[in-house]
Amino acid sequence: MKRLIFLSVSLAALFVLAGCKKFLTETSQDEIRPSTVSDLVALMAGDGYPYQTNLSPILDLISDNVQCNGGQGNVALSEVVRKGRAPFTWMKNLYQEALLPGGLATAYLNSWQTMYGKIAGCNTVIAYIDRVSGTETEKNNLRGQALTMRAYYYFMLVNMYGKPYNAEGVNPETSSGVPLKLRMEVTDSLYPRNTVAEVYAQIEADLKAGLKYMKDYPQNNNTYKMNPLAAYAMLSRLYLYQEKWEQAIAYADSVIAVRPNLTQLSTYKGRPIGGYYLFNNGTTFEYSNRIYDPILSKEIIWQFSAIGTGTGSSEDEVFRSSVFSAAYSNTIEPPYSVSNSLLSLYETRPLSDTAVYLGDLRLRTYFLTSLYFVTTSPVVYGFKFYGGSKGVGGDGLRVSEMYLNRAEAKIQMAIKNANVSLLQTALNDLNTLRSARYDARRPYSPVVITDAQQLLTFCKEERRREFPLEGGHRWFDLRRWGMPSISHFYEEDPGTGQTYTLEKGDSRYILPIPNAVLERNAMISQNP
Amino acid sequence: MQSTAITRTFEKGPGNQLPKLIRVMKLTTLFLTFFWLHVTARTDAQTVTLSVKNAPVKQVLLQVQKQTGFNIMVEEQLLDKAGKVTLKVKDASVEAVLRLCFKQEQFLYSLEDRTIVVRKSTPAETVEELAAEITGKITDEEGNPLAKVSVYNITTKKGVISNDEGTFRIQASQGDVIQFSYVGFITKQVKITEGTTTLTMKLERRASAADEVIITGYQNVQKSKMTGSVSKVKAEDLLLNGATTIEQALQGKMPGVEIVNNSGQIGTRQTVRVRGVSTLLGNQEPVWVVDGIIQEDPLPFQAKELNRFNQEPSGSELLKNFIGSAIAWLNPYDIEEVTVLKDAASTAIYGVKAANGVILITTKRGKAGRAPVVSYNASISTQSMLTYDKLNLMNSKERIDVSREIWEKGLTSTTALDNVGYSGLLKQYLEQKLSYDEFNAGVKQLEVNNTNWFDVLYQRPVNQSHSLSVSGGSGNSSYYGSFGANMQKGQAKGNGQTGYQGSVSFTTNITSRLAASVKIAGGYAKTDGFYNTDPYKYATTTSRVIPAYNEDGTLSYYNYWNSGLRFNVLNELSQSGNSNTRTNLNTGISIRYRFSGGFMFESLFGANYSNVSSEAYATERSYAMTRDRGYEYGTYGPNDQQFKMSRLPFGGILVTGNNSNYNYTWRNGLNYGRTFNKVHVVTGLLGMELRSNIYKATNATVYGYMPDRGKVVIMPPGIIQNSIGSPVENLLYSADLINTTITDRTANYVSYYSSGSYTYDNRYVMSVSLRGDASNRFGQDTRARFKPIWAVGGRWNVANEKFFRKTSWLNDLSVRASYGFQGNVAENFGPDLIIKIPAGTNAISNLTGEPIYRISNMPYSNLRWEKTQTVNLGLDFNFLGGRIGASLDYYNKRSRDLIVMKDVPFENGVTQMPVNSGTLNNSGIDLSLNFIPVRTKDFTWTVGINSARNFNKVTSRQVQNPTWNTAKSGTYYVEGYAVSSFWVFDFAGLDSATGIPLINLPTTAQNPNVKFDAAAFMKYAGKFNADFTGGFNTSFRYKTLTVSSSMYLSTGAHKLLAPLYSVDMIRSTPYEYNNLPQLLVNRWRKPGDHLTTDIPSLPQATVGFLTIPSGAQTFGNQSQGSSETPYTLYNFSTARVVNASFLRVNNISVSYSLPAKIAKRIFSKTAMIGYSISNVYTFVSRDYKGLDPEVAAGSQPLPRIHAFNLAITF
Repeated sequence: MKRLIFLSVSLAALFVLAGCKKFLTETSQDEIRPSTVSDLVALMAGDGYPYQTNLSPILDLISDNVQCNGGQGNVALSEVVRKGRAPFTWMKNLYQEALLPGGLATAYLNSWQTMYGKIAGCNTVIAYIDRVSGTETEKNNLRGQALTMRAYYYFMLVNMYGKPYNAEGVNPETSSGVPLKLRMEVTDSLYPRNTVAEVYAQIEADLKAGLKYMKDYPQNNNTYKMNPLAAYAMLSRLYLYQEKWEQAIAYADSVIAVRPNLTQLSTYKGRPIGGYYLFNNGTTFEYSNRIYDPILSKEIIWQFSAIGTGTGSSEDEVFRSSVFSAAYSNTIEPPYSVSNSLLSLYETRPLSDTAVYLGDLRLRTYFLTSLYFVTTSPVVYGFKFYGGSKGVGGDGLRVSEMYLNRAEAKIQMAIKNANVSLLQTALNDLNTLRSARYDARRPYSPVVITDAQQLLTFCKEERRREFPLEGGHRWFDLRRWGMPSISHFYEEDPGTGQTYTLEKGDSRYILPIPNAVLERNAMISQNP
Repeated sequence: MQSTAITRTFEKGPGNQLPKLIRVMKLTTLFLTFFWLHVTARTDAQTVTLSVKNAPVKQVLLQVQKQTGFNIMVEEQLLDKAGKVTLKVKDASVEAVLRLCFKQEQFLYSLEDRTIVVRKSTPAETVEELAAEITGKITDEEGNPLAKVSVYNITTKKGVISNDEGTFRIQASQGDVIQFSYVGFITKQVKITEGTTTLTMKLERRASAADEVIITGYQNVQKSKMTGSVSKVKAEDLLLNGATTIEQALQGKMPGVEIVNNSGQIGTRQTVRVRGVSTLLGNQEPVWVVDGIIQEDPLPFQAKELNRFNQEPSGSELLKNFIGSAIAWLNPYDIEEVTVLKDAASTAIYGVKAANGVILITTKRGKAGRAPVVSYNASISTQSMLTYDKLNLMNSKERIDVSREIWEKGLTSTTALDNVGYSGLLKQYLEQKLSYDEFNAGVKQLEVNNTNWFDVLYQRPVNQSHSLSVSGGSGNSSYYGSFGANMQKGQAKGNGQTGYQGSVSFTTNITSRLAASVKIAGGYAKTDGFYNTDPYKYATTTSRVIPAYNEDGTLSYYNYWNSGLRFNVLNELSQSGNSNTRTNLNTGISIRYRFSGGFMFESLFGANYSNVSSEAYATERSYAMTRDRGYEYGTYGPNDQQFKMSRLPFGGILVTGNNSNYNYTWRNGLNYGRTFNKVHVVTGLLGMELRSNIYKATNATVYGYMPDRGKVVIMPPGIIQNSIGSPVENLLYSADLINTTITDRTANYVSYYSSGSYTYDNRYVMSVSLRGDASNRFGQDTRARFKPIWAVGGRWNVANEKFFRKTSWLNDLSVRASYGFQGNVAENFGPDLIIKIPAGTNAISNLTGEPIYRISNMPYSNLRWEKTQTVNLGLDFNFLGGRIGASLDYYNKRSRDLIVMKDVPFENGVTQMPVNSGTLNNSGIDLSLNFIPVRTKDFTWTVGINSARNFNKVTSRQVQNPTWNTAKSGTYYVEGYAVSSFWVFDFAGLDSATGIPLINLPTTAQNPNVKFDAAAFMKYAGKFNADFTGGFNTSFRYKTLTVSSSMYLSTGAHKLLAPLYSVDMIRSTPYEYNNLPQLLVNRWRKPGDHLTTDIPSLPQATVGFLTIPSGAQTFGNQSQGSSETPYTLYNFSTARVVNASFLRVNNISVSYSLPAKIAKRIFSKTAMIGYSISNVYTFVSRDYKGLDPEVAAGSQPLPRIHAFNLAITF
């Protein structure tokens, strides 16, 4: 009997031990350990790519493309005006100020945190890619995407928080950039700032490595994924910023050789009201014609921002708040709107002109417009442009930038080497771009400029017209074009307005690092 | 009934087969050894193999006992006198051995059941005297009959045993001394006087706890061998009146167990903490165990929800409150006793999760060999009605006075005039719709409106509960079955619970070695509650100026919060509902096989199933749905623009949930117990346990529900129109308001456990226990699986030392010491990367349509275990025959390497990482004292006191969010302070010119620390947890009338009063819709008032904000806001901190047992009627200024409960 019991106990124990492994197999409804490359693809989508993420919610507000129209005696409007105050007036402690109640309390304000969070996602994918199953193609292509994406973030960071690479009297070998965190592991050690040159070198290395992986292991990805063209485009931009003109041209050539397409804005469907066309009228999405619309637009290399269904989706607080009934009114202006200096750069017809020819269509597609009744009987409409650019335009990389990069680099080389033939090709690039932007109901008349300096100025204006409120282009361009003096008029209550000026070469062209960052990492020194 | 079997003399003779009467436990004088700690199996067909030469009879008997497991009942001296025997038998019957043994001796022996009774034979046996026959009855103190009491006539040396009814018959003549003895009771002797023919004996329980058995769930251990710290309370010491939960009944009954009533609302869970708080991030709840099976919550709770001290749960958790705790299914009348295991030595066998203590509930079982006993318990109770008296809210006149002040002083508001009350009339007057006289007349009417919302919404509930049980047993089997029903009504009309519980348990000895027991319990409970409308909140926050009814008795509607839509709370309640149904089935089977050599194998399997299905709805006629629809019911049709724009043109809302939990436990253990050389007792236990816990739930919200039209659901349109006629997506879909969520979780655990003890001469005890667990929890560090936690303990039973043996006054004295090591694995962190599928629409990218994963946890490879070392020192003593007993425990729990989240540089991509850095110290003293100041036949007075003092301290700096919000909520851990410490703003009086509260706020310049440390700009206000709790229980018994009372004392805690200024008025003036605290009547009104009052003036929109030095650190997510109005700061300032010490008379109860004669007349054995009153009175600190302490802290006051009880046994 005793033996029998002992036997049965041992058997039971054996059974339990054998079943143990299965019994203790970890299970979770919504958690997994990445084991296949498709897990990492989904992880890259969630934490590596900036889908519907605002990487830099203040870069437009601090550029000269936005103006403040004041509170106009309306409490609600002055509240919105106050939200934008800290960045708009370039306050030294703009992040702290913006966080105060009534400030710009957007979830994405701390770009440093946002982008390093995404970099961690890229680093994790890079660290795990060799530990998961999948084909070599899938794995290496994804590795290439992660490397390219990481380069993009570092490019944004170093241009927000470091001195311009080409700034006069600044040695990029010694000036402070941002810390390079290239490994996945979380540690409580402190990371010092790398130099601007080191960061640029890392970006270059990542882009080239990423390019190689994506080229050697090609995959047919959608435009939301990084791809070889995007790496070329980023390299072109990188070299342009470093004033390495030949490379900037060469990489722009590489893109244009494969994808010369530019979106003909005149193919967009406008909404006829009051005798003229509206493209991005706030109330319906049927007539939204965004330059980053993956179906309509042919020139997208890579994109990340949403095509929202509403107005100004995923956009920064100030512009979103500007979607106020104010914009529908004849007498009240939106608190912040597209600056007059920018609007005046576009060639356009008077608004009341009922003729079909609209001139430069970018004015009506790159900005959100809103209708208002001038009179109700008979109906006369007026309309205004206000912010919310990215909700309309999206963000990412477009072919048009390659034409502009190439033109600018060629003009610079022409000036340097007194080479006139380069000027002509640069002018051709600009005209090619412009002809895609103009209303096609009248033939496009090409611009003719022969003076190199004049052409450079025109090229810079063209770049401003093409990238008014996108990807931080204007702010970054101002930085690398010698940080000129710009000013903002800020007013909450009528009559109390004040003009704030950013002097030429102002230290505020380098954004302050958020205090929260410094508090967690004592090795980081604040920008002067 | 009066058969000849009532009395039996001990007769000599081999063929005497006495009926199996004697219970195993019944030893009259001395038990030699108890072989097995469990109830043992039995048979008559035992055989013995023996070979001894000239051995003492005692030794032979021991051998017999060893081989057969029989118990032996004998006076030890008697055996010493017995001679020596020489025997050689093989497979002989016990009978035969005994016969051989006592051949030469003047002994009587008998075999009853499995007990050998040995007595000295006397000559009296043969000399039949003409003695009178005396009959009698023996009961315990409560009057319950005691069966099998040894009734022994010392003079004649003859004895009998009482029967099941406690009656006996014995021959005795005048002058004879009769002795009554029974295990666990004090032996009594009575001299027979002339003419005595009947005797009624009441035996008193022996208070000495040394032979008490402690059930640990894994083992039953004699108290004298217990090295750990436990306390135990019997069901009869708990006041179960059908209206209170088991947790409530336990308040103040066990030292070291703190039970906090959070609210007077029915079904609200109590917070239970055993010996303070020992973890910062983990679950702080103790483990509940019923009959050896660990109980799981019917719904998966979030640890953080349960940990919140003294706070109402959030919206969705409210529903779970009504469902009850892990033990809500248990019929309180089935409880036999409750034991709490507190220190490492006693809880180690439960593993890591028992770090917060273990509370064991043992249910009643039938007793073998007992005639069936049927008992019936009924209770009817009623509660005090909620009234405005305790709530200290303004009446109409006072409220109108506030509105008038706002208008007359021209205080600025952020909104236009409200549409009700004073400002409603004012608005009409200003718009010239009313004349000045009409306006004045209207205001006069409002001042006397005084709507009593409590009369409208509340009632005096009558609750009843009934429980019927049958128990009994025959020789080999016993059974217990019960059925309970309770019908509870809440104080709020429409709130109530109806429940039924049934249980059956059966235990049998299949063979002498094999025993089995089966238990099945099932229950059903339906709770009705509210959806969207909280009557308590409505009644306490709504202005009494607003009428509930029109003059003609119809419902009076008003423009709800200026929405333009009409509202009446009674309509809202009648058009919405919420009901939850809980069903459960709990089963358990255990099998024990005992084989020779002291080993026993036990297998226990328990499976529980519970299901909670809930349904909440609001119809299209409710305000809530009207708001979604956008217009009043029935005002627009399909052709109207409003209809086309409506996101919910038809129907209301339906929220359904189906949550089920299935769990099972399977445990196999091998027990060992053996005595060597009489004095060395060795026990051991080795086992393995499997546990699985599965939650499955479906919760869904749909719109378009029409409960009154066949319960159809018409789904709302996907695309509706906007104000200019363009199609837009219906928000109900785009914002995920129509949704279904599925929960599917399985938690599996495998554990091994082991324990052993060695006892020398019942004086010195050493014990050790060990356990390791592994689970299937996702993302754990698998290296830490099965890592053991362990504890060792020792005990010295001082009273058993030789030098104390002679003292009669000392019944028990023992000292205990234990040391334990507990490790806790980092629950959510491991060396692997864990990625998570986001919830709802976030699981898919709406940009690209591809699946989205997010990083849940980065890999952390260097995390260590959280380690807790516990030292427990205990002292138990008991003297003067149990008149004074005490148990004192000191403990010190040191937790090291607690995992805390440390802020790391943003460059890592995450903001925090877990590091082993926290240390926490808990120490304290638990004391329980029992006195019996008076103990006579008719009058007994008992006093029980238990108290606990706990100190806990955070002993390392925690890296944390230093905002004022964290600091005021008791979750800011600062080195040197107790865990629940909180900080408040320093109130510095009122501004003399404006009455705005002034707050001392140091600036960064004054103290640079204020930027990083909320404690630097706030004032330490105390802690939320009490550091001393005590229970005082006393009872007086005169004959069959018992009066008892229990009180509960809690000191050392502080509380923040509920905010004086509600959130919606701090930045504006009070809304007309809201009622206000009566305290505001004494508000600052004009300059100079600051000398006479410290209640600030009414807030208004133009009051400047104060900048709070820190708080901007929460970058990136949401900012806490680093400037607030002074009124917000006042709400959380020193002015609102009170000393939360209180002394509550928990209950007073009176019970009366009917005399046996009357009881008999109603065909019952005993009948008891009782009355009790709960929450009798609470003494609180003067700080409360007369407010009810619960109300003052913002929750519902505890109701006073009157209950009538009836208990009858048949």
